[in-house]
Formats: sequence, structure tokens, C-alpha cells
Amino acid sequence: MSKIYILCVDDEPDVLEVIVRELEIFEDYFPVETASSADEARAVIRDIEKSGDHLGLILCDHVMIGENGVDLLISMQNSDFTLDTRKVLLTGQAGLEATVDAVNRASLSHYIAKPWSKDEVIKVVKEQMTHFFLRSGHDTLPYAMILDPMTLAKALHDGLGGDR
Amino acid sequence: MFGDNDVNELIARIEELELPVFTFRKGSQILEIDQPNDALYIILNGEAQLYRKNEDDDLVVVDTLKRGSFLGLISFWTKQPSFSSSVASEDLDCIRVDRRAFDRLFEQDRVFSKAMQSLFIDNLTSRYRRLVNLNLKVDKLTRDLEIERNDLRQAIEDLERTRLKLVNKEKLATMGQLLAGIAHEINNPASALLKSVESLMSQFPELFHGKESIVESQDNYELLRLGMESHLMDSATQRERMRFLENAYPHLKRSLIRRLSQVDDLGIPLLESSIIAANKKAENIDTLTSRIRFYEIGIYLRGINLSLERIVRLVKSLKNYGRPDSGSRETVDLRNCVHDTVTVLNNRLKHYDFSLEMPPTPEVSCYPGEVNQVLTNLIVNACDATEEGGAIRIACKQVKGGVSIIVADEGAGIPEHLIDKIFEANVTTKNSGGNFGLGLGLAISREIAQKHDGKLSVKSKLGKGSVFDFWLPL
Repeated sequence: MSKIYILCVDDEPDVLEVIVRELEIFEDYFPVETASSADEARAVIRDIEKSGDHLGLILCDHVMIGENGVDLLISMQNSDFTLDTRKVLLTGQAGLEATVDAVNRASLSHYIAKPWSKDEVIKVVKEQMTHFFLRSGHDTLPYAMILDPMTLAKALHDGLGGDR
Repeated sequence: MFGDNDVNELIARIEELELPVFTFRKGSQILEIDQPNDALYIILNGEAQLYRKNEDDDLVVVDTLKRGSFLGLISFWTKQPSFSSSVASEDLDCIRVDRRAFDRLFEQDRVFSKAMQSLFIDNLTSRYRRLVNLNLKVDKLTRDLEIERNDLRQAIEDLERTRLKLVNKEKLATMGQLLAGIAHEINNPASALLKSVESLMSQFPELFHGKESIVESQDNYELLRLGMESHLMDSATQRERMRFLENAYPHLKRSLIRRLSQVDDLGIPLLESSIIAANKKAENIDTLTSRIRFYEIGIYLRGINLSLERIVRLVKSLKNYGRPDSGSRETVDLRNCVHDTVTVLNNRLKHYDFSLEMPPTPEVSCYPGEVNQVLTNLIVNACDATEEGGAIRIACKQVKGGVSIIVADEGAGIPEHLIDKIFEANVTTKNSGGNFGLGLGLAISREIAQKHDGKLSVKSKLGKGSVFDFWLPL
């Protein structure tokens, strides 16, 4: 069975370590990958694509050495493989302009401001992964334990495929 | 006094000529502006002033007339209303000649007509002379005014510059106090935390080791120690390790693989037995998790320790950086100034290919706060001029008679026509992207350099970058 990945991108290794630790409960369902730059993130995405797997969600910092997070998200929006990937900005420093850009051109799914709380991150990841399933049409059954029942129920009730 | 003889002659013959003499008291009006006048007055004694209204309707003295002068000459001659008001500025005696008397005497009396002609000429000559002088005076006044206006303009510019400098200085002083205050407030708890973590790191492992041990377990003790000595792994290395461990131990869940991937090559053998046992019973998995936890606790302790050290270092730099100058020179190692400023500006510099070259240098007598200010200006300018990822090089080295701090960038460079002006106030090249400064940074920096008997110079090439050299004498 193909795997659905979560990718975390931040240029500060300590921050990356903390995020991954907080996403531990997802790891046995959705392998978590990490990258410390936009370039590395692209390499990881290529590997995921090559092995026939999927990328469900990216949690991305904005201010990074080299290419910034919003530009990475925009380029992902323009690629078929990552079009459905849920795009979450996790940042303390994105200005209004960059955020507007992310919303308009990368269809930003969610914005988490630093410093974040563990509960908030888990809640957002749960909801967003659920939206990914509804949108991409993957079978939700094996993941029922980890997805967000409220979002699922609402989607079934509305008869809609996700929030967009 | 002109026309004296003529006037004397007239006076001598007043009675014979049947001319009336009028006396005006000081302040009384003789002629009124815009009113008809049909007589000619010749001043015998005293003084009259002529008034006209200016644009604001205020009366202005336009001429002062004395003995021998005519009053009402223009209106009498042209038969137009009086051109100005005349008022006796002191008690005044004058002959009044109305038109009839004038015509009669002018035709019949040779002495009168001769005196009149001569007085006319005198009056007109004198008025013309005054006009010429007045024009010269106006010209001089205009020039004086122009000079004064330029002086004023310069003064206003100077004032504005001084004001901006003061505002800037005040801001810096306030910021310095604020920084020192914050730094102090952070420093205390951070230092306390650091002490606690240091104690924890030395004492906590002992709980699992030697005489003090509550749970004797050499391996767990080792795992803890290894965790505390571990190095942060970059994401690519961790990915590789996870792949390796997944292949080696396919029975482990990915969350365990991730946790295990943090453990270094010395730690894995210590865990090996638990790893192999972990494919059987749930409690064996718990055992493995607990044992990995020892290593992780080591990592956390190390992480806290490193972060705290970073905070303490930053706070120390902030304190040095923001410290207000004591008012007298201090003998300092300039490399500390560079170090403090670079630490404070790390947030900007980390986006560049930044290098620091600082061989030992002799100490220099200076105001460290001001040196920091210059360095801040130069480094911020270098960042502003350079694309992210570009090279910025800072060097501090001994040169002839002093120490030079070099801030070099490979940024936009300075246009040739601006390079001589770059140290003047209000000159800035940062006029694009809405990110412009006051254009004071370099002006203030050069002033600071001069105050230290030092030099601040630049070499730059458009498109290649700029090299600023801040030199302070030993």
C-alpha cells in the first residue's frame, strides 16, 4: 500500500526536532519527513513521488535561509503531484504581503503562528489530513483512528469532497 | 543746503512780493494725498515728511524735505491730485504761492522767476540724485537679502540635520537603556537556569550509576551520557539513518524507528537486545521505549544546555552592545565590539554567506558604544546592498598605526557620482523597495570616526560591491 507522508520544513534544527516530536502520534500512520531548506524539501518530495507514495501535508516555516517558505508552497501549488497536498505555514515572521501571497497563489490551507501549542498543531494536522483524504479520494478506512471524525462527518453530511 | 541764496533772496523780498508765510506746527498736515492742490509751498525753515500708503494701507515715509524744497510741486505742476501727504515733522515756515500769484510773479518779476527756475532745477536735481541713490540702495538691499536668505536656508538645513541627529541619538540612548534593562532581566533567570541544568546534568545520571544509584543499570547510565554528548543531526542524515534502521529492524514501528534514529552508533549496541526483543510482546516494546528515553533525556538536557548557553551569550552581547558610553574613553579589544555587533545582528547576517576574520589585534582607546554604532551602520548597509545568499566579509586587523575593521560586501555597489557624497547627510542609495533610510548613518559614522581621530573610507564598484574601512588609531 502506498504511504501518505507529512513533511516538515524549517531551517532551525531544534525547531524541526520539536515539531517532529509533537507529531509523533501521526508517525505510525503517516511517515513524517523533515527538511531544513526549500531545496531539500523538493528532493524529499521527488523521492516520495518516485516511490509511488503521496504527500498529504506540508508544515513549512516562512523565513528560511535561501528560498522562503511561501515561494516553496507556491511552486508546489503549480505542480500536479503536490496540488492536493495541504499547505500549512508555521511561522513567526511572515509579513502580510507574504501571507496574502500564500493564500492567493499557494491556496494556503492554514496558518499557525509561532510560538504554537502542541494541541493546536495536532488539531490542525488532523483536520488538514482529513481534508486531504476527502479531496484526493484515498480510502479513509485504514486511517479512521487518526483522522478528524467531525470533519469526516460533516463532509459526509454535506456530500461534498472536502472544504474546497 | 542747496538753493540757499535763492531762498534768502526770496525771504528778503517776501513782503515786497506780497507772498504769505505760513507756519505749520510739528505734526500738522500740509497736503493730503489724492486731494487737489493748487498751490506751491517753499520751505523756509523746518522740515516736512512725505507719506504714501503701501500695499497694506500703512503710511510710509517716502521723503524728507528741508529748507529750499518745494511741497506740492508735482500736483501744482501737473494739476493732478496730490501725489503724497506732507506733514510737518518739526515746526515749519513756508511761503505759499497760489497759481494766480505764481503766474503773475513768474511773468513780471525777474528775480522771482530766476529764483524759481533755480529752485526747480535744484529740487529736480536733488530728487533725481536721491532716486539714483535709492536704486543703488535697493540693489544692495536685494543682494544683502539674497545672502541672508541663503544663510537662513543653510541654517534651516543645519537645524534639521541637528534635529535628526539628536532624535537619532536619543533613540539610540533609549534603545541602549532598554536593551541593557531587558538583557539584565533575561540574564538573571537564564543564568539561574543554566546553573540548574549544569547541576542536573552532573547529578541526574548518578541516580543510575555507582554508589548513589537507585536503579543500577550501567547501560542506561551510558545511554544518558551518550545522549548528553550527542550532536544535532541534520534532516538528511536522520532520513538516511531511519532508512537504514527500517531495513535492519523491519519489525519496529516508524515512530520507534524515528526515536531510535537519534541514537548514535555507540548507543545502538547498548539497545540491541531490547530492539530484538521488541517484536514479541507489548511490554518488550515498552522496555525499548523506556530505554530510548534515557538517551532522549540526555538529548533534551543537552538541548536545554546549548540553548541556555546561546541565550546567555546573546544577552551578554546585548548588554555590551547597548551599554551607554561612560563618557570617557575605554581601552578595548575591538574584536569584542565586532563580536557583540555581529551577535546582535545575527538575525540579518544569517541570510548571507558571512565570514569573519579576526586575528589578535592590540587594544584601542575608544567609545565602544559609538564604535558599535558605526559597525551596525556598516553591516546593515552591507546587508541592504546585497542579495540574500551573497557574500559579506568582516575583518578586524592591525594595520599601520592602528586597527582597521573592514566590512565588505558583494552587493549593488555605489554609483560613481555618489561615492564622494556618501558620507554627507541626507544622501542615500536606498531609495528602492520602500526600504530607505534617513541618509544619516554614514554621516554620523564618519563623524564618530573623526571624533576618534580615525578614518572611515570606502572603495566601491557599481555591481561589484563595496568595501568600507573603519580605521582607529592605537
